[in-house]
Amino acid sequence: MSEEAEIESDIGKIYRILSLRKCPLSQRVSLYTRGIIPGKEIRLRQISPLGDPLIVEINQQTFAINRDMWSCFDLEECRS
Amino acid sequence: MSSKEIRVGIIGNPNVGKTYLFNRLTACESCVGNWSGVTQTACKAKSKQGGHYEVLDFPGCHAIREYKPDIAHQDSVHDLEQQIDNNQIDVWLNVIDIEHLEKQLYLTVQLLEAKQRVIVVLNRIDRLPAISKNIDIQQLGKFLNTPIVKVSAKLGLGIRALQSTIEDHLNVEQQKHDHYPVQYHASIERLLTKTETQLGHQATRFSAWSALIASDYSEKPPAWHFEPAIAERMHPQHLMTDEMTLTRFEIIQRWMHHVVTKKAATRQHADKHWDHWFLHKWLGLPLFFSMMLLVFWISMGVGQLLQGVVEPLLRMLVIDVPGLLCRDFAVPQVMALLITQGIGLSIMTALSFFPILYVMFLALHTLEESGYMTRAAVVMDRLMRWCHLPGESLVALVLGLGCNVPGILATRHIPNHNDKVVTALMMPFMSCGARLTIFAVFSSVFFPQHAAVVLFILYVLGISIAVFTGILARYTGLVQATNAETYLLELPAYQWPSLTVGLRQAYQRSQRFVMNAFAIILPVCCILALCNHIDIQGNFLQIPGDQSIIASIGKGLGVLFAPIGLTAEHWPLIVSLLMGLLAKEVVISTLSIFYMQMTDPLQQTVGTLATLWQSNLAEALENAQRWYAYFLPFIQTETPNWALYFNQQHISPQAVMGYLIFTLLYFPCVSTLYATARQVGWRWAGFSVLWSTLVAYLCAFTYQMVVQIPLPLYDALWLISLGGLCYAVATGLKWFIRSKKAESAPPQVAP
Repeated sequence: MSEEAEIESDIGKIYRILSLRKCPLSQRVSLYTRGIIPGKEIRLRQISPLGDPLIVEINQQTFAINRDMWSCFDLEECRS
Repeated sequence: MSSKEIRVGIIGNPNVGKTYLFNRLTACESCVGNWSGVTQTACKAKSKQGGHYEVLDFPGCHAIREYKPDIAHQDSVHDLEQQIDNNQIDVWLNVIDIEHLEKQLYLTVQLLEAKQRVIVVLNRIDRLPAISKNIDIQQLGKFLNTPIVKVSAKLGLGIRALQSTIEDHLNVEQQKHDHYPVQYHASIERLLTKTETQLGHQATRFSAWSALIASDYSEKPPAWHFEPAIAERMHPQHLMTDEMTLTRFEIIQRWMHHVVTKKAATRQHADKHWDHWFLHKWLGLPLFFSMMLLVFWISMGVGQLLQGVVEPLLRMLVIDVPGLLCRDFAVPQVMALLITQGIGLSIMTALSFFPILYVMFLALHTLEESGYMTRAAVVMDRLMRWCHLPGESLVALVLGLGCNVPGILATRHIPNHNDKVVTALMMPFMSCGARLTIFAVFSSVFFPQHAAVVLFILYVLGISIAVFTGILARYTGLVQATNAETYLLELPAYQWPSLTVGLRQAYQRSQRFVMNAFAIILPVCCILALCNHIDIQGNFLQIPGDQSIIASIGKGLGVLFAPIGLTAEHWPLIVSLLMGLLAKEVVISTLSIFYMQMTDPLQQTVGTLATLWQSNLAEALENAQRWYAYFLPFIQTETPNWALYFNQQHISPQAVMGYLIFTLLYFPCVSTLYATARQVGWRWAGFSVLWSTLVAYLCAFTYQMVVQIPLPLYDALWLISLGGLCYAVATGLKWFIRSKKAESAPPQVAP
């Protein structure tokens, strides 16, 4: 499956963040301080026009993150 | 209390309502909005009640000392950290949005660890019923061991209670809060205590934490890293930053179980619904452009309608009536000239922009306050990334089409400094409203059949040069490209904009702009009026003309402007370009002074008060009756009488087109220059001036060459030459910058 199709198939799914180890430290700190920490549930809500950034929902808050950052997350699927 | 100035600092995450609170506590009207980064620099003002303490509003931050290298508004963050390190703030008001309590308590914990005196302000309590949450404030107060006050800064609820809490807190003898709300693992606690001792008696838990996490950024791990107790506790791939940050969140989450008792996702559902359309894969872009078009259509339509009604009345008040009084009371000519064409004309020119600016700022505030502006940045992000710019840049550039100054000011949304610089360099090429007026007047006189086409060409040319500048800046390495990895944007919740706040904010912003413009226009109009009536020998000229000082200057500069089609006989146009350096709004008023006096020098002094009142009122009423004309999709600019003078002087359309191209692209006005310098520094502002003037001259010159050799082959050759010239400039600049960087790079050490 292509990367595009893979991300599209993730829309609406709810994942649990296992770790953010793959993110560089400065990025990890930004994520932590915004409440994006391991154990939280994350939902890919939609893809913005032109394919990037992605709109995600964490802690009842909406964030726009780019695909590189999304691929840094270690995720485990919880439910759809 | 000591006699020194007492300082109360407002701190909190971005977009939690800090500035609303600041405005409530002081008599200020600082700018507010529903997006992160409205406040860029710390603002301070005396408190409302007796003013015995000073309130400081700091830009929003998620945490103190994030160690993020490309963090936006770095200076203000540094300033905030200094205030904490040096204990310069007597009480911190830590503003927290009740909707997202958990993540915001992280900053509170940091403040308490830094032994700061903190009052937690839970904002937006009016939202509590809507979000179906119940917050046990007493319980939270016990965990944090600090006072907690509930307010709604926007609606003004709980402000009195907050003020009395501040007073009480200040009256209590200064005692440092030694309560650390978070207990780390025993091994980490021992390490923190040891570090605190090493740092000296002024050290806090926070300074010890800062010292420990600083080691995460060094290449060599510190000695404590190998201590068995710590190594056992920490995850193999975790650093001290991860360990301590996650412990803090673990404790905060535990508190949340006791403090927040009810949850519902009502708001999220509504936001989701709106986002579905505004961020839609196919509809997102058309909706964005429609929204921007709507803003301009409304602001130009309503603004011009108001302008059409207000301007004749204003002219009567500030030019005609003073002119009549001067005539009747036999005021000396020089004085009369200064009163009518100096002061009067400058007031009219400056104030005539007020309606358009007011409506535009109101429309933009509505978009910002509703939460759409951040979505607009998301929608445009990918498109702008092709120019290595974030989506926020496009929002700023679109605003620049109204006026470059708000456009430049809107670059504060852009998180990365380099992106901000490129956007600021592109901005002068976006045709602002003042330039639109110049184009509309000239195109309606010289190209009556193709006025819209001429305008369109000028707009497209401006945008193309802006894009070219952006690409050139990146291609040559003049401004380094941003690392796209760091894109993380918090989308604010949608909300209904408050009309009263919007009206007030739009008034503040447009008033500030008009006052700044007036400060420039007034001396310009006075000097021009005088120079236009005095000859080189110092004699006063009854009828201004070719003998005046200003005409001599304009004619002298004709040599410089000859390659772009303007010769000595076009001196009024040359002088208007010079005056346009101060403000583009002055260009038309300069021309009106010259040509109006040439066509009818006695125009200002005829008639009586009654006839003037009748004619101006009739004009205002006529404009009001033609209200629909302002909303039509084509330009309804009326040609002023003085503009007809051009044809009598046989100014060729080619010369006018060269003039328009130069006006479109040359030096941004001083207000834009000042705004650019404030946002990105004087060095870049200076570069912007040089670059835009060079490009303007080259483009106008090329146009003249192309039209003077009307053979398609030569046209093509000139266009190719221009392309080649651009490429040569780009390559030369790239080579120059690389060689400079290579020179300044540290020498390589051989292994």
